[in-house]
Amino acid sequence: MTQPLVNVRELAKSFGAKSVLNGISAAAQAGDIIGVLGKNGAGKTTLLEVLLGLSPPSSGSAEILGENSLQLSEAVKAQIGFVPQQDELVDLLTGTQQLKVTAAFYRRWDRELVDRLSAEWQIPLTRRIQTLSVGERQKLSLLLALGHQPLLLVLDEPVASLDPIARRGFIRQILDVADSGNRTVLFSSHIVSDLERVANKVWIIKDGALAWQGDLDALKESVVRLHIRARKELPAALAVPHQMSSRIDGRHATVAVTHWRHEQTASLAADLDADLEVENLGLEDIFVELHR
Amino acid sequence: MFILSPQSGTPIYRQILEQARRLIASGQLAPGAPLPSVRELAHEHAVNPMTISKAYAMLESEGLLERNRGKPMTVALRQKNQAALKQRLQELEDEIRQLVLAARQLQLRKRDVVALLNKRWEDEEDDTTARQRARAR
Amino acid sequence: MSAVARLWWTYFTLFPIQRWIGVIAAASLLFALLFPGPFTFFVLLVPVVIFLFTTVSLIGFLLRRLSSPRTHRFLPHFRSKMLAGLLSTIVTVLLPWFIVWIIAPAQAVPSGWGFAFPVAIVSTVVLGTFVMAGSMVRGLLILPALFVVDRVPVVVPALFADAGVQLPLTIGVLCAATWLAFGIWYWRVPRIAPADWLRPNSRLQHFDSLFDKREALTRDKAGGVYLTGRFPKRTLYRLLPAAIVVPSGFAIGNFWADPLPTPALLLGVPILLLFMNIILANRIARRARLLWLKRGHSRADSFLESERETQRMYFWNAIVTALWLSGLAYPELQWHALLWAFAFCLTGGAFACYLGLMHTRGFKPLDVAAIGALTVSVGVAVAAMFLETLPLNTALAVLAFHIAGAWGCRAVSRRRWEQIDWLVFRPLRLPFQGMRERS
Repeated sequence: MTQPLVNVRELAKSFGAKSVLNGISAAAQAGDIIGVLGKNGAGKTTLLEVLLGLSPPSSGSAEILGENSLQLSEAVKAQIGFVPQQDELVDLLTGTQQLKVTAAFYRRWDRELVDRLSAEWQIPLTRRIQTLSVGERQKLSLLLALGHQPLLLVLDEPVASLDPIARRGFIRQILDVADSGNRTVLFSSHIVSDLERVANKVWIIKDGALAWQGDLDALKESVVRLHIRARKELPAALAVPHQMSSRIDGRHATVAVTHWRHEQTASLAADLDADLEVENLGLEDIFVELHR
Repeated sequence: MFILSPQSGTPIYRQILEQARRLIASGQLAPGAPLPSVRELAHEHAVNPMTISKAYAMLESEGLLERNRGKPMTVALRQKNQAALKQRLQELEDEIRQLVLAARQLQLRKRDVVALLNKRWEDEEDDTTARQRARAR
Repeated sequence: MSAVARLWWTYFTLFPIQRWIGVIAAASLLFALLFPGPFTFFVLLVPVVIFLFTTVSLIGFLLRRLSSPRTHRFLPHFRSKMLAGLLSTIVTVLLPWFIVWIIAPAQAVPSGWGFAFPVAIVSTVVLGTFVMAGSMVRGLLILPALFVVDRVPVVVPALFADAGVQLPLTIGVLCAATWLAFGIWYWRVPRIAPADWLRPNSRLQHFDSLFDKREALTRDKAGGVYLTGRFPKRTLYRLLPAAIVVPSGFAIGNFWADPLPTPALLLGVPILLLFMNIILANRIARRARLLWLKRGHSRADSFLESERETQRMYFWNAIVTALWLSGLAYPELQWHALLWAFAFCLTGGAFACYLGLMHTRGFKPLDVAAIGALTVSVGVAVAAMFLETLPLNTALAVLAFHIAGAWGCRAVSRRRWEQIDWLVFRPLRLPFQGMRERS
């Protein structure tokens, strides 16, 4: 296994008495598109900003391309593109001026890519940034993060304030960009449907820890809802392994389980002496079940 | 060509797998027919291209698709490594169970269901033959 | 809490600096009441005065900021609530002066003056900053007017006494009329332009094209853009405000027959700038976040870069202010006055800036001590204002104090910046800033 692009080890962050992240360990390989999912206030922004070195962790470490986040070298920083939740555009400048200012920092700046994308995404570059709409500002922020062709793109709630059409467009843009350069994308969102399209891995943050870290496909296959119709009354405590939640009503029961394997169906049906129907859950349902 | 629902409980790659298998088995995708490129499909459905590559790779290992350098993947001319009967029947396991469950909920008798199954099978065979003849012409 | 009450609270506590000074003011007020006595009373009330002054300078800007978003037009009774909030704030600010006027012995201050004077000052500052917030150029023209009003009580009473005009009453009537006119305008005007005091008006946009003609931007200049939030100032552009402000000092100085005593100018007026410097330096420190991923700097380097930017700021401010002040005091240029003014502005500015850079982590005892020290030096300066000539010892002591303060704050800043947390210490967003107004 090659060295991970991003490596987080036992990361913890607390603000005074309040602990936001408790011991998160995760890694991202080159080429991954990772969705960081969590409720509002779960710590997504905190995780991303501590990862980038903007905020010192209370304990544990975060590394990007092998370097500690708090001491990133210029070479590594030039490989990172960040689109924060609150954009960091300078209101008084026009789009062109802002691009010029940002380009001044990087040795490598793909002028042609920037021109092409600004035309494609229809970003008005001659007006002052303070006159742009939220969607246009977000697109400009993304453009600024792409110009220097970074290997790692980190996006914090990039689509939260966009309408569905703009969101779909944004997703396509991220996919285009990730595909062509073989980039790694790490983005946080609480809009589950977008994650489902785009991410190949998810990190689910719950109560400051990672409730899941891995393939999205594997997650979907391993978390299922079982609909049980037994021939006799079911006991209050069902003997179903890896239960997340259960609702029992006489002879019927609905149980959400994790670590499910297809082969278990027959044996479980036999054990419970019941008819078993396995319902695969979409990411939104999985998210709800995890938080039940 | 494919109908994908990213919000479904079934992972996207699996949806492609199942749909591709059916399209090929029914003859709608004839041997030698090209499939849309990973990039095209990803862009059209706004989904991660890696998931599509995964599906295509799995289809290739099953012998259903062939990789052509520089050109899009095509349906295999010869069905290599035909999976064992038992394995293929296993694929239908879920559908059969659904069918049985639905039939019992509707309180249908087994022989009515089997009769319906026979009819549909014959209809499908007729369709496939008609299509093959049309293509041959 | 009703909307008007909430607005009132916002005017007094929105900015962190108001909250700091407010706490110190409240504490010193308590002390003043517990330990009454002429000297303590005077010195301890300085924080209260500074708090009120800071608030008054910010009201105009806030009023414009809160009034301009388009969506607020749909809030019920928005304009009337805003006016009510504004009025209640102004009344609260004037209340202490009113109380002082009532309880002060009749001979200490000419009747009516004690109250008319603060009313005039507050009105001018609030309305002036409101106009200035809308357009910098318009505002700069009003700036001299603010200081003319300041001078009125010293020079004018004698003139008017001869004419037999009741000056306080006249001023009172004038203020009332101005407020009434403003109230009506505010109520009726369809749209209030957003707070763009940093934006030059369209005629000056020519300077933007100068920016574009540059070949390439150096990293330092680009860094400066991010830190200050403005495009790099070409020399011409920088000189323009100075070109307006400095001669006005000489003009005013020449107009008034007898100049203000030196101490008043050299120590008193720079105080106004000091607190502005704290806010601006703190803003730069927050904006340093934007450069973290752009430059391969460690946090220590980040501090040095921000420090350089603040130095450019207060150095330039010190030069302009010194020229202006010495113009006011001695219309025929006197080098010694100029140098003293420059020294005070520079050292005071440095102290204030490092204070601003230091405040990265909320209200710690050290922050309180530093701003307390600054307030004490201000108290001394205010006390010295009433002297005829500036005693050398006092002047040198104040200078030394400022330098010591700056040094101390710098040391603390360097230590704190090692652990700076830009997740929480980030550029401030005013409420209602989510709305993008098209200008």
